[in-house]
Amino acid sequence: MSPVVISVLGVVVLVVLLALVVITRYKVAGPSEAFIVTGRRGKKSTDPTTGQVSVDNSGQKVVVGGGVFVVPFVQQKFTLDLSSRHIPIAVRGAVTLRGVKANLEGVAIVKVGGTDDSIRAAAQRFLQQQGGIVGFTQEVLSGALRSIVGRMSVEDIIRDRAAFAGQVAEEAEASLSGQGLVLDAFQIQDITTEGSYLEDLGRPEAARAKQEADIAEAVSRRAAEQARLKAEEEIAIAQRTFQLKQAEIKAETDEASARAAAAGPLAQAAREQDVLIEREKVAERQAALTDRELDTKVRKPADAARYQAEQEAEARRVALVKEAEADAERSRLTGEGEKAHRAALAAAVQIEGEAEAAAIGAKGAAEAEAMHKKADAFARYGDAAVLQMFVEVLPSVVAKASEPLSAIDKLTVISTDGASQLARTVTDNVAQGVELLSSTTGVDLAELLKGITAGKGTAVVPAPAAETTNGTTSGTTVNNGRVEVTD
Amino acid sequence: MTLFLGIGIAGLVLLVLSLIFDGVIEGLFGGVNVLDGLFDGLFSLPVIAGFMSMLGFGAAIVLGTTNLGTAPATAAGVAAGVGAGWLTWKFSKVLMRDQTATTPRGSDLVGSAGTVVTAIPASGYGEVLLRLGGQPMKFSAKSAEAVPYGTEIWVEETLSASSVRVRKVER
Repeated sequence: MSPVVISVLGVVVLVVLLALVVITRYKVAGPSEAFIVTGRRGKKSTDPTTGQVSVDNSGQKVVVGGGVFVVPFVQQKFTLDLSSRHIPIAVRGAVTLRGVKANLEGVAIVKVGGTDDSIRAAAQRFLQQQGGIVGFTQEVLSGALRSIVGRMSVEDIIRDRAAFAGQVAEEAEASLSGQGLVLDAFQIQDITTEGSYLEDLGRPEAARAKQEADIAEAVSRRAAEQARLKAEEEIAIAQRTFQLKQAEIKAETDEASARAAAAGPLAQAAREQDVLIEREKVAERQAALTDRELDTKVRKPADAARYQAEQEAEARRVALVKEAEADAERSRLTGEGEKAHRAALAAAVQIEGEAEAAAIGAKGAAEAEAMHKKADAFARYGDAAVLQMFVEVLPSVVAKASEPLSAIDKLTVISTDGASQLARTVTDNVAQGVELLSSTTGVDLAELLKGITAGKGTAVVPAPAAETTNGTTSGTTVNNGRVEVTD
Repeated sequence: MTLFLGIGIAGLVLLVLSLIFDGVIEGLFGGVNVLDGLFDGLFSLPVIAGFMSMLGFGAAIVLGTTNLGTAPATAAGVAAGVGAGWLTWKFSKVLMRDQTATTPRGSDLVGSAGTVVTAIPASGYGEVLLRLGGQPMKFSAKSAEAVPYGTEIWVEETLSASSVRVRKVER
């Protein structure tokens, strides 16, 4: 290989190496780190009044999230982590404003501030001991938390985040900002109290919440139950409708199937009916035929015979009529003769009757006159005569009544009453006869007699009464031709 | 010829060493006050190494391709070396000028606007969210009067690295 070629290659390598060397001096900071580059001189400045010359700290550069060319040999570059640090903080037995002891657990998010001043301050304190930030902050903040809790009540710590944050900021300002640290967030994770203070705090609300939950549950259960029942009701209604529909459809299908089943027999019946109609026609034809045959064979000869008989009967009748007419004529002629004969007889009888009637009339008139005279005589008789007549009749009546006894041949009396009863039988017979007469004829003889006697008696009572006062009180008194019988 | 090649290779080795043991070789001269500022740019090690290496290789190339002799070849090598060193220095200067702008300072906050994230009581601290250097940051804040949550505020002054005094914006 010629020296020239080696030299050319060397030049190429040289250029590459030079570029690399220069570029590696350029440092770029990440987004969460800060470079502190030290080593250069700061600017000189002269105080115009005193003339004192001072050098500031601008030689120390702070670079955040950017690039810097670190000049070899004269400058040094340091890196400070800016990312957050998660710091748990716990305080035991911190006394709150109202004396309740509380245990708190919190967490703080702390980082190195993002400004030039903060980074310079933090770099001076923590650059070589960045792990120490956590311990330092923990101690500072737990002390701060204790004093914060002392200024607030438990309720405020729990409820008033803004007030808590303000208190924390105040405390942190005093202790952290001087260190170049920034408190990004500080939150209480857990708070407990000695005793049951917190539980008691929540109990009324818990009870109320439970009550509301129970009520809500009951209400919702009621609503659910109602909805379920309504749904079931609707289902039942729908089922009813469905079953009705089903029944309806079944009825229809049954009817249709019955119709279908009947269609066969009906059609058959119809066919049979047709057959029957045809047969009927045949029968009618046959009947007609037979009729005509009968006409020709039987009826017409019969008619002819009947006609002959009729004619003969007519002839006979006419002959009889003529005969009867002749008879009638003869009878008429005979009757007239008889009539004349009878009229003559009747006239004779009439004359005879009239004569007889006249005789009877004359006889009657004579009798009537006699009777009239007799009646007048009777009228003039009075009651004494009547009585006399009655008394005349009475023995015959009694005789008639005792007639049955007289027909007796031999009489043996077996009676406790003795033979006196026999005589009484006769009077009984008379009484019974009178009774019989009255019951059979309606003529009460005793009454009649009594009426006659009484009627006359009443008319003549004054006279006997006058006599009675005169002292004549005998059993039978004859007065003015009348006999009055008393008991 | 061999001498020039040797110088070039030595320069390369020096560069590789400086790359690997960054700052070590410079540190060897750390205690020399006279040299303060000497290596600080124009005469930094990469510049010197680049000059050396380029001188050797440049002279070797001139010697091998022409018949000018050793003296003119050395002059050409020196010129090339100065060029390389100058380029290196210039490149370093460019990068140094390209450094990030200054880090935000607390005093930058004055006059900036922000929002209250925890209500500020009349006495005591609340919290405000401000934008510093393009990034949102939370600061503790005090105010002359109570400021409710969500109110827009202006920063009046910085009390400390992590707290500011604010005023409610009134339009």
